[in-house]
Amino acid sequence: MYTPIIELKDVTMKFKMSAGNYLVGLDSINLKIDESKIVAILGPSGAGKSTLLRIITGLLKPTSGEIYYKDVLQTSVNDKMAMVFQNFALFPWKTVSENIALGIKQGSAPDEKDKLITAVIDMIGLEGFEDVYPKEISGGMKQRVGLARALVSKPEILCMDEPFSALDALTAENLREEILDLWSKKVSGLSNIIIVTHNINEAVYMSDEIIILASNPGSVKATYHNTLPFPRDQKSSIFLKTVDIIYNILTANIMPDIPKTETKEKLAPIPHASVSEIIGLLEVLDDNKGRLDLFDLADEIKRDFGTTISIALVAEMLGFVETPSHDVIFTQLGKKFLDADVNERKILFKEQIMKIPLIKVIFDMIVKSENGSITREECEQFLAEKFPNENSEELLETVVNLALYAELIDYDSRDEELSLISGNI
Amino acid sequence: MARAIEKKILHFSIYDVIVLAFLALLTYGISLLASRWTGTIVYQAKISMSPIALIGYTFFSMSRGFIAYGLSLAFTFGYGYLAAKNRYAERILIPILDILQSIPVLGFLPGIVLGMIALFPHSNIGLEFASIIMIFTGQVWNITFSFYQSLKSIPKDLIEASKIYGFSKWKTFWNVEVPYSMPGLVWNSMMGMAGGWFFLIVCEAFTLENKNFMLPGIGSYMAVAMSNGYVPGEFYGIIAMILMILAIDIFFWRPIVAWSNKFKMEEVASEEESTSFILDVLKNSHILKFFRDLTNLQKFQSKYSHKEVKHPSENLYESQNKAGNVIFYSILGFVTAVIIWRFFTFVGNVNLSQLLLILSDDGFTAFRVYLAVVISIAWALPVGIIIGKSLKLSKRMQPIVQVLASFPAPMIYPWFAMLFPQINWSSILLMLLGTQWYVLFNVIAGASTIPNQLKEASMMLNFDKKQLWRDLYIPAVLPYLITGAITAAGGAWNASIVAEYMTINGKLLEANGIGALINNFTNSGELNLLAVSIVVMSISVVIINKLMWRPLQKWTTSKFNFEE
Repeated sequence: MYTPIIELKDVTMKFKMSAGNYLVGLDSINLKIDESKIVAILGPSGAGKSTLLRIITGLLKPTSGEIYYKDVLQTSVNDKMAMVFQNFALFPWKTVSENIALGIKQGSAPDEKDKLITAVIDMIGLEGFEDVYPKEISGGMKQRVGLARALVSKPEILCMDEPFSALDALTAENLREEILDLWSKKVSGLSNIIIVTHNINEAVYMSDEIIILASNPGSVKATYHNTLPFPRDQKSSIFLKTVDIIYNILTANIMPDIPKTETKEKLAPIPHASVSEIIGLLEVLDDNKGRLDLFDLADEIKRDFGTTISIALVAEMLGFVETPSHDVIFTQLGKKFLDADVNERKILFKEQIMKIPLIKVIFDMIVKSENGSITREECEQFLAEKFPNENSEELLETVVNLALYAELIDYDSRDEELSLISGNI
Repeated sequence: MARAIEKKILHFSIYDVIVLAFLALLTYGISLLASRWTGTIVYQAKISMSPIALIGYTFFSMSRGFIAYGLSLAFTFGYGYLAAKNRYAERILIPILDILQSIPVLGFLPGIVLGMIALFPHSNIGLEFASIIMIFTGQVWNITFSFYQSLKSIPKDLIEASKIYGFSKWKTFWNVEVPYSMPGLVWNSMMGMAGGWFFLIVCEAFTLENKNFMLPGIGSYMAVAMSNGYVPGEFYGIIAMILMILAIDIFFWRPIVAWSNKFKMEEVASEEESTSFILDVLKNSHILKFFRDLTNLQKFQSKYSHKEVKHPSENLYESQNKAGNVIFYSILGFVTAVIIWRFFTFVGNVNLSQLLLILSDDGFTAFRVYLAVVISIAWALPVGIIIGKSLKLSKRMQPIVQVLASFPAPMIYPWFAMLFPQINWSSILLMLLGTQWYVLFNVIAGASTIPNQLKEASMMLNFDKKQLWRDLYIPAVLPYLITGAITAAGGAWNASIVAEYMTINGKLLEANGIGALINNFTNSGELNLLAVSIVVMSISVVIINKLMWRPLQKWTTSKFNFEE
């Protein structure tokens, strides 16, 4: 009789927002994790990956739904799991040894403790650093200490929350290798490693299973079984192909090829992007003969693909680019915008922005209002009602910034009011 | 343009009604004040116990507090600026500030009162100024320190921007330096004003050289009520004080804190922005908007902003001017020697037994001060951590604790003194009442800055309650605790003036301590003994600071700080 070691049933997480509304962070998550696997939870920023990990470990209680560990319902922090944090979470007033010692279960004899600490320091490679304070060591070493502290408690599940995000690329590469090395040596008692990441390469490099999350609201889009044999070569064609597949799953979800007419009429939220990012994207496209693959684009502008997709989507809403499958291509209009001077750009931008349903609706709200203005609060409330799965504050910020550039509206920070520009009616 | 003005005049909302009502009240108050100031001098005003009179007294006390605050601000800007900008000035001014902070209010009393009366022998203004300056000495020192520290820690890029754009000193001051220091200024001002109220009684009703001085105000009302044992009067006084503090909090500080949010150095707006109804009134009143546009500060400032187009001076980096140093230190040494010589001639006739009395009493007070600090820590540490670590709780408790801390404890001393007449010991309790809040505030601040990931790590590592406190909460707040303890100790020393000496129900309660001594010497006019006592007290405070507190603070900050 086969049972998954971890199972989530209908897990939903809602967060209370300031305006009295709820933001649905995770929506009806159902997933199963099998023993003896490295599992990656992959998704763009804001998809709820860290939230999901915290629910799995018991740090957070879901709004509804159940978590099962070895078929037993979990109601509190799971003490068979250990966690490695993005920002290391070391205690500044304790030495490396003392930090590691914190992971040892209470009630062990002192020499027993010392033996365990020495063993794990050996395993991770921290010899010589025993009596050093965290302030005095590098990020990579700090994370090693975090790892040692996690492993010394002999966990069955090792959870890692974006463990390499705060490290430089070389150190991150190094640590990934070391962890895979450890895994191959079969640390006693360790059944699974669950690693949260937004880096597709990392997920494909390290894991056996990739749980792909979509955002707004957070939900499981797909689970990919990664059967690549170890050791994995990041440049091999089969590796790159796998990355491509995952990539397509992600973009198919975020950038579906729906016919234009349908999207044009629907009142949809605008992804988070600033005007300078949009213009920058057009410039980059211009440097690359007007066409780039999303992946390459993300590389060029040095952003993670989630952010890149957001910028591309807004540019598409404005009619400056098109996004067939996972390419981004200049339109005629986009080229015209780029070649225009500042004033012409504003006129063009204003024309285009009024074609976005959400902007038109908000503009109409202002026009129809009593004294030609609406408060920030009213607008945020409206957005929260229309789009309960979005961060209404962030959405408002995006809308206001785009509309200000287009010289469509006026915004007064002191009065917190959106109003018409006097020449506009 | 015409349309816009038309729109403004036609609109008249409830906000405008509130502003007009307030202006009317203010005008009445000012006329009251003016009649008092121009009246002939009355050294000992007759204080009526009636509650109606108390309303007028409240207004007088409030006006003194605010004028003193205005003085404090002016002093802060001048003194703090000079100390921050001039290397030599810094070396004298900051230690002097340290010393000034440790001198109790009564130490300034004789000089100020005698001086002011000499300046204005016939009208009340002299007396009023004396009282106001005394309140000022209870408010100003921390505000100045905070401003000085802010000036010294302005981010380099702001300074460089102002240099490149050729800002004059005036423009830099108002556009860069003051805005940057605003959050610290506001917070310390709130604390400072509370510090002023603490000594209100002794600033409005005091004895100098056997002459009784009494200015109409809540403080003197309380003094009369307390010394006559008139309990209803004590009640009325306390209620008046509470109402005054609440009113100042709601009508003055809350709007200022909400307004000063825009000066916070953060990249992203925080979700917790304080709001204030009064600020909304001010923002939305059309009358005020009209005046705001008229007197647009921009016009005023541009006159001064390009006065001196500064080119980056050659010595951007202050070079070690050896000759300058020699001259400075020799002048300093000379002046110090002269001061010490003058001091000794002034106090020369103090005999040994008197000196020993002063020294031993100083020791007793020191014991009380440190016991008070220890007791404060004993309860404020756990309570502060409990409040600080929960965002919900600290938001709810913060206004309550603030009002509690602003209330001047000397007003309720009589009841404690009656319960525990052995004033040698109950004075410790009284010191506690005044200063434990500093510890509480700082611990709350420390507990609220514990990084979330560390709390989560503690949960994952299965910390039981004991370990959570021992390994996370207490070490994390330790630097803040020390800061709070230093401030509390300083406050306790100052509080000894009112804690060790009081007249209740016609009876004089006196402890063996330097606070009581200082009262006695002021009353009797033995100014040489007074001077010696003050010096002894100051020296004890400053030396203990240097030897114990500062090193402790340095050590805890380096070991227990979170740096990312």
